Amino acid sequence: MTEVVQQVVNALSLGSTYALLALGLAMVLAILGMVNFAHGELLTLGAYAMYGAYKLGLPFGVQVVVALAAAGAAGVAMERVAFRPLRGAGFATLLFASFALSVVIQNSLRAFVSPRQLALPVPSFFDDVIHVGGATIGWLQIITMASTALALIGLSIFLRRTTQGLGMLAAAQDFQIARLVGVPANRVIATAFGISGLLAGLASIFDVARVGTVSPSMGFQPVIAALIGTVIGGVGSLTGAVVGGFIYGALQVAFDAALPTGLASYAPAFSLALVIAILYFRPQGILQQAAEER
Amino acid sequence: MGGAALKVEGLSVSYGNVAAVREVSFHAEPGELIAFVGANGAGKTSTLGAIVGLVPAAAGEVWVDDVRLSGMRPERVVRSGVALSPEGRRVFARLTVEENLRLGGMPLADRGAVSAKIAEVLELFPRLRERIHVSAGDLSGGEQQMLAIGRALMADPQVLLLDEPSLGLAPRIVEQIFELLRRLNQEGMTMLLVEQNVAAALEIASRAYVLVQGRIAAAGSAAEVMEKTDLAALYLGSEADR
Repeated sequence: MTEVVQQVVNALSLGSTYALLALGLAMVLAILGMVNFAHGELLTLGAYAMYGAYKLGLPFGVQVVVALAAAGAAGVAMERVAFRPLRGAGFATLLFASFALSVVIQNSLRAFVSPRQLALPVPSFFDDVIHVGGATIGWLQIITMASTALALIGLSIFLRRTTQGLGMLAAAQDFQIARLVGVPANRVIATAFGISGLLAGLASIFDVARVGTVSPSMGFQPVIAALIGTVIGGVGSLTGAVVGGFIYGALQVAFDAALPTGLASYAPAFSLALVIAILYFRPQGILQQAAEER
Repeated sequence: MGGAALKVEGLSVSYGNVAAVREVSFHAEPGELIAFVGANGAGKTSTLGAIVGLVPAAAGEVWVDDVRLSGMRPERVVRSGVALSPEGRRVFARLTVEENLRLGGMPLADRGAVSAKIAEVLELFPRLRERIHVSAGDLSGGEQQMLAIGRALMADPQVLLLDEPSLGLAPRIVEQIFELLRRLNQEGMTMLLVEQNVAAALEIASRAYVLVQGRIAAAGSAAEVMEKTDLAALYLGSEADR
């Protein structure tokens, strides 16, 4: 039982990061129909901004604010500079553009900051643990889960209770008709990128707290996991992306725990095999209705 | 809810090399209900799309009273007093009836105006009041059509464009919808009704335009069009062309 509690906490904690990233990715995907491969770089830029604040000797609380603000601003800037000029371009064009942007950002960090990993120490309370029953739960895990829950609740209130939020939900369902009823396209798209940046910024703080370093390619693996989460949940569904992110996190943790030591390094392969199986039976994703059902 | 004059001059729409609408000109007087009839692929929906800015016009101009709509983005067109109830209804399926209506009221000045307008729309469609907290995707086809029209009315338009409001609905529901359109028109709303259900459309329209392969092939009072135009041949001809 203790082991189960422990693994559930691990799964929720890892899934939180994936869910935050998957939600940002899904928001842009649903509204613009583009997979933003540079989404991982929003996480990276948030982490580097945090590093910059650390180097300036600013306290941790300020570093967190700087990371969030920088990632949010980077999201808005990314749309304005790179994607708005390509508005209306085909799926492949946008996909390649986002790949290119990802490469440019990574290489700029290598060239102008450092090609190596840089240490970014975080306060020691992240390493503290509490014991619940027999399970050991780290403060980092608790903070990650609590912050993710708060962010998701806050976002949900924004989306459902404000006119601008409703406009975003409408745009995610049918962008053309949303514009037709008066939802301003540019503002909705900029807001979607800003929010996805903020969510990535939050994920970057957890990532830094977990590994204690920043590196130019640190956004790559999480964005792939987030993309898988988005697909599991159902492309176009924001709730689906969050659920998919948690499911993928849970799969990874479950295989890590269940596989014998010799096979442990194959955990990602087993997780992906199960994802393929899920998509075989529900190609539209878990929370998305099939085209013929709609 | 006063109607405005709608004027379209020399409108052309192309998709690549395919011309969907060719130099179409027509107008509606303030408070007039005109019908646009024609077979599938005649260019009716493209014409509406170009009026509201969803489809770029290759040539031509669109005016509502003294306001030139050509080149305007859709979100500005609706603020200029033109709203569209689109083909296939296209309600926001995962949002509730109330949320769909609130979104339709985006061009209105404030929350108070939106609430007042929702009350007004629910007076027109009492059925929607009963379903106000239901997801639009769970409504019947007829209810979705009411919602699509209600959502368009939320913007308090001067010109209402309707694309195939009878499509896929039971005759009894079609009757209700058309009765409502007649009422809205009697209250002074300018309306452009695109329909394949020619008889129903001509019954409530004052004038009609017949579109064939992107051109206006016939125009006149609804009675004239009904009488003089061989609509069956028109449709069969278009069928044969496809």
